[in-house]
Amino acid sequence: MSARARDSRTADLFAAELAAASVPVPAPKPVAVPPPPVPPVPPAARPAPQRRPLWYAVLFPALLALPAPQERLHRLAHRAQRYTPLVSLEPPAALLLEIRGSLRLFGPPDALQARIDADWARDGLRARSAAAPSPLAALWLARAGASIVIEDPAALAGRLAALPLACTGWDAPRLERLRAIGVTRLGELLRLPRAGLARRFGPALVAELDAALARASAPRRAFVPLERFAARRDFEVGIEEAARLAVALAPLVERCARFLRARRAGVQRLQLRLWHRAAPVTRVTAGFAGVTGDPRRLQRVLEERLSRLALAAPVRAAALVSGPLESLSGGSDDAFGGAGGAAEHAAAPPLIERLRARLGEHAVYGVAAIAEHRPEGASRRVREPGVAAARPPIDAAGVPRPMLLLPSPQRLAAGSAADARPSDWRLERGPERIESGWWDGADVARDYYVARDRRGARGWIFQERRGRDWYLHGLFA
Amino acid sequence: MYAELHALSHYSFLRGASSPEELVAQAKRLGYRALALTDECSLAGVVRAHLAARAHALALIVGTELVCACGLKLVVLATSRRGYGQLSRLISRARRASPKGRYALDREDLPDALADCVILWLPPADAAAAHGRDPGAWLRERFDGRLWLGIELHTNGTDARRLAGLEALGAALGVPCVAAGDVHMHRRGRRALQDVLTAIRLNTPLARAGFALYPNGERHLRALRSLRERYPARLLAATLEIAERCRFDLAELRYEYPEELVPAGATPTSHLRALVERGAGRRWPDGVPAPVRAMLEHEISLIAELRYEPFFLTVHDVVEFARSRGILCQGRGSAANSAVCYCLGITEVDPARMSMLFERFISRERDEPPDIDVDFEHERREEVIQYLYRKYGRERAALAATVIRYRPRSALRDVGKALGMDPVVLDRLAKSVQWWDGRRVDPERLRAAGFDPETPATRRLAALVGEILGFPRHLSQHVGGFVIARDRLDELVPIENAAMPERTVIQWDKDDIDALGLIKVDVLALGMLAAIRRTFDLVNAFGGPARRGGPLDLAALPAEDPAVYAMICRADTVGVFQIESRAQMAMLPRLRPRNFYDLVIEVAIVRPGPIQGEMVHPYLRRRNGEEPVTYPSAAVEAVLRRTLGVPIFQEQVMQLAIVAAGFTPGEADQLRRAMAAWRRKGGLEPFEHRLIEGMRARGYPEGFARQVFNQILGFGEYGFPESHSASFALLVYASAWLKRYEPAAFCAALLNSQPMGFYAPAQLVRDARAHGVEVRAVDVGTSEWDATLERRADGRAALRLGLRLVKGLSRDGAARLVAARAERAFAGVSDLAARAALDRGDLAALADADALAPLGGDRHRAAWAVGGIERALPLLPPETGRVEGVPLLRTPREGEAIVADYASVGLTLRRHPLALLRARLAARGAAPAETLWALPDGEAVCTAGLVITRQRPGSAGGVTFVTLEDETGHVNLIVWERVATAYRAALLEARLLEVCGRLQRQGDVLHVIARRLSDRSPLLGELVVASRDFH
Repeated sequence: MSARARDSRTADLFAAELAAASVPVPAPKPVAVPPPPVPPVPPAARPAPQRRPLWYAVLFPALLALPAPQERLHRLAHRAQRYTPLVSLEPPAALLLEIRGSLRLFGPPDALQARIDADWARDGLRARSAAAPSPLAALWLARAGASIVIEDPAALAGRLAALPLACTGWDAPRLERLRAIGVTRLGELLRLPRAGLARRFGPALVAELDAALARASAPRRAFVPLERFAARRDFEVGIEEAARLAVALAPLVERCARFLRARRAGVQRLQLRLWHRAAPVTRVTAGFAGVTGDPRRLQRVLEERLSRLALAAPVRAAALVSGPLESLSGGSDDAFGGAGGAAEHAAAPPLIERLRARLGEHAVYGVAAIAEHRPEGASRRVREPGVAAARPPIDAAGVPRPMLLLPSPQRLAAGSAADARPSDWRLERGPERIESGWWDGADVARDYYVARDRRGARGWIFQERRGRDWYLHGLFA
Repeated sequence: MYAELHALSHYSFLRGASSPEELVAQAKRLGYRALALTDECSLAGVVRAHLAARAHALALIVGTELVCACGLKLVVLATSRRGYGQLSRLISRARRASPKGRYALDREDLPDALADCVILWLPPADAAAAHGRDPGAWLRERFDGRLWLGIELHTNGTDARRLAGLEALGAALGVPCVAAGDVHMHRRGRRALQDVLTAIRLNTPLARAGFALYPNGERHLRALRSLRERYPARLLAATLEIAERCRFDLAELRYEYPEELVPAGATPTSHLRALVERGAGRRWPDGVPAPVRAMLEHEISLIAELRYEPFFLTVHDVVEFARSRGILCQGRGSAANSAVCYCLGITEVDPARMSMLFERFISRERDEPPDIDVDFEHERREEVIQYLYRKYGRERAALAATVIRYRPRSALRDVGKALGMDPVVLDRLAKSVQWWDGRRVDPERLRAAGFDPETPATRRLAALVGEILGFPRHLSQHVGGFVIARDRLDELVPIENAAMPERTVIQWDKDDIDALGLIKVDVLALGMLAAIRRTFDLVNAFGGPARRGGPLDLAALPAEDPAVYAMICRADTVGVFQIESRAQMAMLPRLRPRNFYDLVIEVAIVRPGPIQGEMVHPYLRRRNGEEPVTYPSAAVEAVLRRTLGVPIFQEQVMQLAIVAAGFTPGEADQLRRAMAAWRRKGGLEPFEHRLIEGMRARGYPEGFARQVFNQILGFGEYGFPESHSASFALLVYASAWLKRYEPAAFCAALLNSQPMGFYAPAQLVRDARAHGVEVRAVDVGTSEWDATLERRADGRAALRLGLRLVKGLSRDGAARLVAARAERAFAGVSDLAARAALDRGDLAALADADALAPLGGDRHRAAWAVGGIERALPLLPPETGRVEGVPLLRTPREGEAIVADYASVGLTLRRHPLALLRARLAARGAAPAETLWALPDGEAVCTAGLVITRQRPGSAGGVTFVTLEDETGHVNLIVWERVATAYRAALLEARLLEVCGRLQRQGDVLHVIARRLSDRSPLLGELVVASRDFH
């Protein structure tokens, strides 16, 4: 865990939280969003560099069956940090904890091992663990299912000798090449000459064996949780007006923007929680039409959202929590990115955001043309206006299409003509025959005409090729 | 009146949605004056269209639609035979310039090539504008007087504007206009199918195909009334004017045989006779026996009458070429088993040795080309093919095409994908063919497969799959049918590239070729010929026992050796051609072949046809004297006597139709074709009536007539002709003889011809060792690439396995190894690595194979040694590397060694793996294979073995046949469908299978009827683990 993320004395509360949206932000207490569970280990208890480390390895077989075990492993790592500040991931399903420094607090190694194991068991999670002076040895022992603690490095070689080679997790070609020289257990490998091994299998193998035997140090990368911005502000006097609230939140938004800038990141969503003295928490979510870290944009959208908010009671405290951080690079911050019209569109996202904040998320939409012969299917509502339209076929160039398409065709009264054409419509152009769409059960077979009614309005009408009935489907401007 | 000048059939693959026959029939029904078939850069459908047009008395115009690289789109129509030839050559040129399935055409290619063709220019939709004039002017300059501007209107809302625009363009250019339809289907009802084809072509679901689909179904053959509403009369009249000019009829095509095989001064007949006489002198040095002489005269006069000499000369030439290269070959087919072909060396089947007569080897009545297939060694057939291309040139010789058509599975996959169905679900459905009853999608079976047949989506799928079945998907190459012409073949039919490099195919398939009377020579590949030739080479090089005089070859094999037949009767036939399969092995002890003709029957009888026609058991009963041999008439007796009154060969069925039901030979031939197709298309009903009535009228009882008809149904497409069977039987005898007398050489040759046959090297080697052959392991000190023979102290041959068995060893590496060894023996592993310049992969492969044993010790030591060799540095002398101590490496355990043998070489010369597991298996109650022979029929048994073969023949009604092998022998399992379903995973995946069931014993044939199966493969994995159980 990085020093910055762990330092609870800084003004901002950088709630170290897993990226998973399903992880609930801890329930608010009057003063502060609780910090992550950092072990209350006094500085003196941390492992001194000269002291021999002791590694606890734990393997969760159940994780191997998950489609994406990473998220679960992260949460488990997060929890493991209550026992030691140095937790290391061993994807896909194992963790390594340096526990030497925790012994003073939790008792002898086997007691600590039992205690941590019990922690997993409480969750109903099957775990295999072992502890040893080197992370690799601990891991291999755990994989082999040997639930033991070895503290003396001199005892390692003897203990490892019986383990099958598969517990190293090495890739299949290396295991296959070792099998070819008759090596199937670690002991058979450890007794081979180092120089010969290095020539045949590379120095990395020998280095790994040294590390496993604790003859060489094997630095591990510490687990650093994924970040979100979370900050809280208390108000001495309850705020009753939304407009004032927006002003009062400005410092939080400013901090959030600084936080994002420092990470070259942006968000698509901000969450605001408002605490009242006697009413349940009010939650407000503000969404953006793209990934952004711009403080003015953050502030503006938050203001729009708040302006529609009727406060139930005075607000005593507010917390601003960001959505997952997303990278700002690659132009993903601009929904209109890509071909041309950048200048024209530059002002659009804020405009759309403001319209949406005012009228509702679904009241603003774009229309995209679709490559589809059926008029009903030839366009569709899209969330983001300006999505490139499908190009019509050359044949259809110049084929009339009405400005307004009725949501569904309107039946026209049959006339007396031989083809039952409605008497108050005069055909001007056509027919255009459309027969398509059988594959989704909505086959159409129609002859379309541009026609003018008695008052001179131009309409797009068609005759069913099967039923012979006439319908009005659209109006020209 | 109207003539459609632009119509695509389904031979414009994945564009046209109707067959040529459907288009022709519909055009006739609508009262069209003529129809032009204009598939895109293809004439693949014209023969079918031609036959249909003749049947419907409709004028057919032959043409093609072409799109040039510049986008210029044309329809080209042939006005005469010359124009047809020009068209065909242009298509050939465009196709040959591109990879298979595509074409490339530049507009500059057109003017010179198409002097006798009419051109329809089809301008793009926006061409009415000024820029359309450029190609128009270009075309008019070159094709003035035979150029029209085609106007195609499809009610898309722009008809009026388009018509006016194009007529104005035509007037401005001075080019007359004509109506056309851009027809993609014969009826509007094919609209859905046409959309599906488009989606498949673009590899996109229909829902996303968008504007690539046509907006409506107007691209069908429209009624005349509808055309009159859309087009001005002058444009319709112009179609007739063009149709009048296109007078070419496909019937004008004349096929001429190549002539160059006849030397100057000789006629084809005199040359053929000279060759036959020369061969007869070789075959019968003491004079041709009188009956054979009579046969020869009869055949030669028939050949001369039908003018087939060039065909026989062509086949003779191919066979002579193969012989000059030492390529073993043999002809088969009705014409091949003639005295003439025996004399020409096309076959080794001595007509005097056969009890049958080949009096009908070619038919005077039917105008049917003679049938000769020639099999060549599979690895060397390409030499023969390239010889033909070289000799006649690519303009004169090409392979026939095979039209690859939609089959139930491919139809289901492609249609389902177009409909946007989940590929995983489709795949599962496609793999279970339950939903397919042979002719159509059966809704009930679909339900059984887990699909609700009532949902619209399933109904659409079922209907479209039914429609698309049989649609051509692409052209492939025929297995070996060569068409050779006297003059340019590409003026007869377009030639295009096949997928394989150096291969070219014509656009017509076997049926088209037959219909037009073209002749093809079938150049086929047969692995057993390679194995037999290799055995001869090995034996001749090794020097056989004194009992043989000259070198061994097919003609020199002693005939009718009783010891060979005794071996065959024991079903001791692993590796023998044809009769090594499980079904054949089960039949041998019952049929007990005693002479050559018995082998002819044996080859033909174990086929789906006779099995489904229920001819096997009647024949066996009659042969064993359990049933009297009777004939309903003397005429039938003449046909069936040689098979004891039971029809076994295809020829017999046809002859029965002639002698008993009064069919003409031509009708019998139609019957043969219908037999081949009825399972797919039906169509036997007219013959049923004709056959049964005919037989009743001639006094045969109805029961007999029905029985014959049912036999015909059973024969279906699987009927096997006696003429092929006879040629195969000769190879059966030859390979059996070699197995009996030269087992080491025969086994080596089989190993060197892999992959072929029914058995893997492990079984072949096991069988050879069981016959007393000493087999020696792969060894870098002695092994060649191929398996070889080594002389033992007692003078007999031992088999040395070849480096080719070593998995992962490169062929080049092996060649360098053998060359380096020839200089001097290897001093050690590093010497070998340096002098043979082997890379790490090759060295590791050799170590894994235990082939370094003499140099590097056991596998583990060898792998260690090999791993320590530095990359070869050519500047350093070998053996300057550092000296390492030998590390503490464990010796491989026996189980490990066996598993490693299998993994690398595919076989082991140590104990059978099951010998090591025997104690474990015995504890489970599994008995060794050989002990089963001591048990009575019907006994409940358990056994276990390595799975050697799994077979699920289509003719066996869902039964799976499995053969297991243990250290004592083989066990044959019969797994009924119910058991197979219950133990599916074990049945399909087990390498070591345990079975419990009931013993079934009939004479010398033993089966276990499986009741319960279990996968014991994990035991094999445990072989590598140290355990006392295994030693």
